This record gives sequence, structure tokens and C-alpha cells, in this order.
Amino acid sequence: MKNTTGIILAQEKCDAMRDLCGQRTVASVPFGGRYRLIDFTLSNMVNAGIQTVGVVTRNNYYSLMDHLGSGKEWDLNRKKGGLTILPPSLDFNVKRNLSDSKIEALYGVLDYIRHCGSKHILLSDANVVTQIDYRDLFRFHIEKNAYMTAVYQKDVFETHRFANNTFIQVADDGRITDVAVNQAIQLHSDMLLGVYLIERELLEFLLCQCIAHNKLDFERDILQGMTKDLDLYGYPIQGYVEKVDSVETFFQAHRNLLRPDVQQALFAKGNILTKVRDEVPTYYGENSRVKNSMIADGCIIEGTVENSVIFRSVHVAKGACIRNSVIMQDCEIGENAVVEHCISDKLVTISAGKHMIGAETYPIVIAKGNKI
Amino acid sequence: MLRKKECIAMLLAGGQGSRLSVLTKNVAKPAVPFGGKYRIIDFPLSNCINSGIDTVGVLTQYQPLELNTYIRNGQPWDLDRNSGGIAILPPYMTSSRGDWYKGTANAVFQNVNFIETYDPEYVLVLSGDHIYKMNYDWMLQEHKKAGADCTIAVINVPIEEASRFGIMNVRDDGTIYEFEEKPKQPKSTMASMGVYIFSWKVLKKFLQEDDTNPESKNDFGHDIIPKMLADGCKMLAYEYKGYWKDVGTIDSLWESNMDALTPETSGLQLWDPKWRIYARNPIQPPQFVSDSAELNRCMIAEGCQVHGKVEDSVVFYDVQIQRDAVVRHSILMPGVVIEPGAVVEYAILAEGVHVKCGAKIGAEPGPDGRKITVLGNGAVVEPGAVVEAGSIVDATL
Repeated sequence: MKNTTGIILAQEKCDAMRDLCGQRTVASVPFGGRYRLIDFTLSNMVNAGIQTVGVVTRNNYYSLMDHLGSGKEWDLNRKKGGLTILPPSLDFNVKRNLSDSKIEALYGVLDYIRHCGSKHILLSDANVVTQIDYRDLFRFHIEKNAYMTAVYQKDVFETHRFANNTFIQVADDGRITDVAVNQAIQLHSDMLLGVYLIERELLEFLLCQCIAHNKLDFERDILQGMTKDLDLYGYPIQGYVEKVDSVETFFQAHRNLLRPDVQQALFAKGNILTKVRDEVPTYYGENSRVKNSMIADGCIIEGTVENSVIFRSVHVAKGACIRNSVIMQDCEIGENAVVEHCISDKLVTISAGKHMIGAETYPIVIAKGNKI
Repeated sequence: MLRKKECIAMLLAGGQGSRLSVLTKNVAKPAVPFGGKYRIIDFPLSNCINSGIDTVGVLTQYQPLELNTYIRNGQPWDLDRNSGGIAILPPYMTSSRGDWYKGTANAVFQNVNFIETYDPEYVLVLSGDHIYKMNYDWMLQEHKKAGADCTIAVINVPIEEASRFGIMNVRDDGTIYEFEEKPKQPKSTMASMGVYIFSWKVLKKFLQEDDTNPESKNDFGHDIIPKMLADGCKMLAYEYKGYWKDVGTIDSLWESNMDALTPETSGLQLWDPKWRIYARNPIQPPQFVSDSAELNRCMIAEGCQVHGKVEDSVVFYDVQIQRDAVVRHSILMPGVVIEPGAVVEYAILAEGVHVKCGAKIGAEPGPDGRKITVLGNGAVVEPGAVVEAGSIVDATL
């Protein structure tokens, strides 16, 4: 896929992620002990041989830039191509506020798209956790002679997925015949994952068309419009996939990480790359009790951890007990503290003896840097 | 034009480390894994960058392949620089001569041209076989303040062990008046750590003289230091207080790994955000600890799958310890697999060792003392097999 440029849309904030997106975009939400959400999309692109990747950002992109750096962890610190972070560039002639629109975000980086020189553009949101070989998608796209191919997840029936997602109807030959945005009842069960393969020149044309006619909704104005006139194909993702777009899906995805089959699907080939932090191996103390948990490096575990995901450099003091939780990096869990059904963002301190107990259906989110 | 450097480091990494037996069969001693994710050479390299020394020549000779691959451009240690950075220096041929490195001093002498390109005032000579965290800059400041020709880092060792080391006999002002290599009757307990700072002009002169002396073994400890003392150079001892261990033997390598598990008593604290030890990081997911696992006083790195019992052990990345397996007082290097029911005690298992169901490796120390069992790279232990305590297994035989 040398002739493909990857464009990752990391501009989106997500209200359903509550405090996890308080200071950051969805793309840079920590995930799976040592990763950020964008790592999956970025690594999948690199593993498919894409060597030019642009990351579109808008607000609060400090943590994202800090994470991506020069792109060396993904082997994207290249002379030719490589990683480019694309902050919003306001054209002098366009007087408009920045909105959430994917079309505007892409139009804002039109110069980059124009000059990347690739024949194809792989457009992707940054919140899909999966290991996918994009080369298969590419072959499918060429075989079908598609204008655009959209990646989807089959058989999604959870009603909480309906809002803010786009569902499609796919014909037997793979052609998308209907697109439903924000469906309130189950019209279709195949959910788009925000990953599209499209020819560069067509993308440029569509963006210019849309902006010229003040059509700013990617799903309604491009996808729904295309199903009528152009060949839009759907490519079903094989294997494990989780679109992380709310606290609930974030939490569920971490519960799934404790399943061996999911670990196998996501990490088996060691293909997911991330920023290096030079941590020490994790130390388990005298009376540590750890069951069914995923634990990153740099931790000191002296208490109990069950059914949880612990990120890097977390200290769990003696007598502390963490159950069914996600604890992000640099947290301090004090002696005899009890944490259940919580998602603790980075740098949180839970003092000795404190109890933080959420529920399976509504995990407590503790915002970054809080001391309890 | 390369920028002038005040002080550059020359790291002697060519040693075979034959006392580490099968562990150094295919790699040089500095490349031997240590502490769950490191290699021995990470310690001097990290000390350099943490001390502000950004130019390091690594002198390689014995089995350099893995070491070269590991170091590459020096990026993990922040030593990928436009000016300076890391340089791997194997022996080479010139139009008039060409030789293996005959000794430590000869290795540095053969690279005079490398050193001169940076026009340094001082040269720090290090070896790649010790575990310690040391700020070389503090030592350099002492060297400069005293106007010394050579400063040797020393550490206070117990008197009963002093005869194993090179011992410095020191005046009250810290200057050295005598050096004794492994003295039978040590007069002091100041052991040389193998860390030297030389004023380059002086060292260069002594290296040149040493090269023309056919009697010389071309070794710093054996030839250069005694000669400098005899010639009345100003030699300073710099006392280092902290953890330092020569990991040149199976026992000391094992002990030092165990020391990393007990930082309060041993002094070897790897968890130190202010003095990080850098290493080339493997690409691995977090470790997974299952319902059946039991972990006590152990260090476990990324990518491991732990289903069994692990006590007082150092486990490197990508190791699998399956259900009902027991690992105690051992070091498991990357990629080791321990199958159900196997027991590993007081052992060092090198990369890729596979211990099958119910096998038994090593044993608790008996009345005649501790014997560490060592399995070389890729060794496979068949189901139910017993490997006696103290055995050294070379998989390729």
C-alpha cells in the first residue's frame, strides 16, 4: 500500500466519554495498559505498508502531539512521507468557526491531501480497537472497482450504539444500498467504523463540492448522497473489533481485554506499536494478590488487583484492593483503599482508606490529576 | 567540523566473559540480559547520558553481532546525535598494521584517532560488566578540582573480599600512592570499580609508550595505572557510595538480579525516575496475570502470561509460566516457556528455554552451599526430566 496515504481524523471530542475526553481528543485516550486509542489505527496503517500518515487535529492536541512525537515508534520519522500532524489551518479567506464537521476538518487539510502524491487515501477515525490487515481491504476495493469502500462491523444490536453511529445495509455483492444515521430503532445492524478507502482525486472533488454547497455532514451529505450515484462498497471487519465512543464501551472493551481470545486477536503478533516510556518491570510485593488482570510495566503492586487493567507506573499500596477497574498511568492507590468499577484517569491519588465504588452499569470516572 | 567535547567515554565491551559460561556463548558479556528488561551495557550507557556525556565509543571484539544490533544508532539512550553520540569501534586494519585489541589499553590506543576528532580534555574509560548507577560528572568535577592526571573510582568492600579486587592505597588527601592487583594481604578496602577518568594528553603519552613496550600486556590495571604511579602522575581516588556489582560470574549475576528485588536492603533501586536506566524496548503488550497465578516478591516484564506461582524471581518479557508451574529464586530471560507442573528453583534460564510438563530444574541450596543451575539459549527440557542443581546445560551440544 505504498501508494496510499493514511489520514487519521483525531479532531473529535466525545461527550459520551465524559471526563476521559475532558482535556484530550478521543484519539489520545489511554487504552489497554500502555496504549492510546490512536495506536491501533496508526499501527494497522504502518503494518500494511503505509508510510505517509497525516493526523488531523483541532483542539486539545497537546497530549496527542506529545504521544506521537516524530513518529519514530511507528517507524514514521521518514524523509519521504512519514508522520505529519495537521493542526487546524484557518484559511484567510474562509471566515467560519471551527465545527465538529469531518468535511470541514478534511477541507482544512486539503493542501496536504493534494500534495501527498498518493493515488489512494485511507481515511480513519482514531477510536477503533482492532488488528486489521488493510491490504485485504485494499484488494477488496480494487477487485470491486469501488469509488469508496467503508469498513463496517457486522451484527451490532446494542441499542446504545444507535445514537451517533451510522448503520448500513449491504447487498450480497458488497454494495452499500442504504445508510442510516443516528437510527433510533433497528433499521440496519451493520455499523460503520469510520474507516474509508477512497481515491484521492475523488475525495478532493467531494470535499470541494460539499464546501461549495455548504454541506458539512460526511455521513449524510457524502455517504447517503453516494449510495445513489456512485459505487460505495462495504467491507466487513473480521475478528475482534471495538469502537470506543463512550465510557460504557471503553469500560466494556477493557473487560474484554482480559479474555485470552481478545488478547490473542489484538496483540498476538506484537504489531501494535506505542510510545516508549522506559519503565522498570513491574514489581509484585510480599502480599500482593493479583487475579485475572492485565498489568503494564513500572507498577509496584503490594495489594490486591482483580479483573482490572492497570496502566504503567501505578502504585497499589498494601491492603489496597482494586476490582473491576481501569487504572491509568501514574496513579497512587493508598493503603487499604478500595476501588471498584472505577475508571481512574492519569495521575489520580486515592488516599489511604478511601472507598470509590461504582457500578457495573455505571462506572465512576475519576478525572485526571484528582486527589481523593 | 565536529564540535569539541570536554569529556568523552570509551566503553570496553569486547570481553568474552568466559566465567558466564553458556550465557556468553554467542554474545559479549555486556549484552547479557539483566533485571527483567535490561542488558548489562544499559547501565554504563544510561549513566553516561544521565551524567551529561553524549559521546561514547563502544569497543567491541568478542561476538559483537547481537551487541551491535542492540545498540544500533543509540536512540534508546538518546545517543543518536549529529555531533557525538554513540560509535561502535571494532578493531580494524590500516595500511601499516592491523590487530585484534590486545588489551584494554591497546583497544583505546587503537582508537586514538576517534578520540582526537573530538579534541577532548578528558577521557572516561568504562567497562561493560558492572551494575551500578553513578554520576560520572561528579567524579569529573573532582578530577578537575584536584588537577589530577587520572581519577579512579573506588568502592569500599568488606576486608575479607578485598583480595579479589584491584586495591588502591590512598593518602589522606585522596591521592593514590600504591595500587595492588588482588593483594593477598590487602592494606586497604578501596577497590577499583574499573571506572577511570584520564586527562587525555597524559593518557595519550602513556598509551604511546605502552604500545612500544613489548613486555606490556597493554592493560589499564596491569600496565598503565602502575606506570603512571611510578612516573609520579597525580592519581586520585574517587570514592563512590552506592550499589556496585561485578556481574562477571554466574553467582554474581544471579545475586545482582536478586538484589534488584530488594532495593531497600541491597541499594539497587531500578525504580528511579530521576536516574532511569534506558534499554531498547521490546514491542509487547502488558503482562497478563490469570486467576491461578500467585506472585510474591518478583519482577515481571511486558508481554508475560503468568498462570503459575512465581516467587523471588526476575522474569523478562514474553515469558509464559503456565498453570501449576512453580518458579522460585530464578531468572527467566525473554521467551522462556514453563509448562504446567514444572518446577524451577535457583536457576538462570537463558532466552527461549522451554521447560516441559513436570520437569524439575535446580534445587534449594543444600548443606554444601548454593548451586545455580543454568540453561543456555533455546534449551529444551523434556517432560518430567530432572536437571540437577548446579548443572550448566548448553542446548547446542
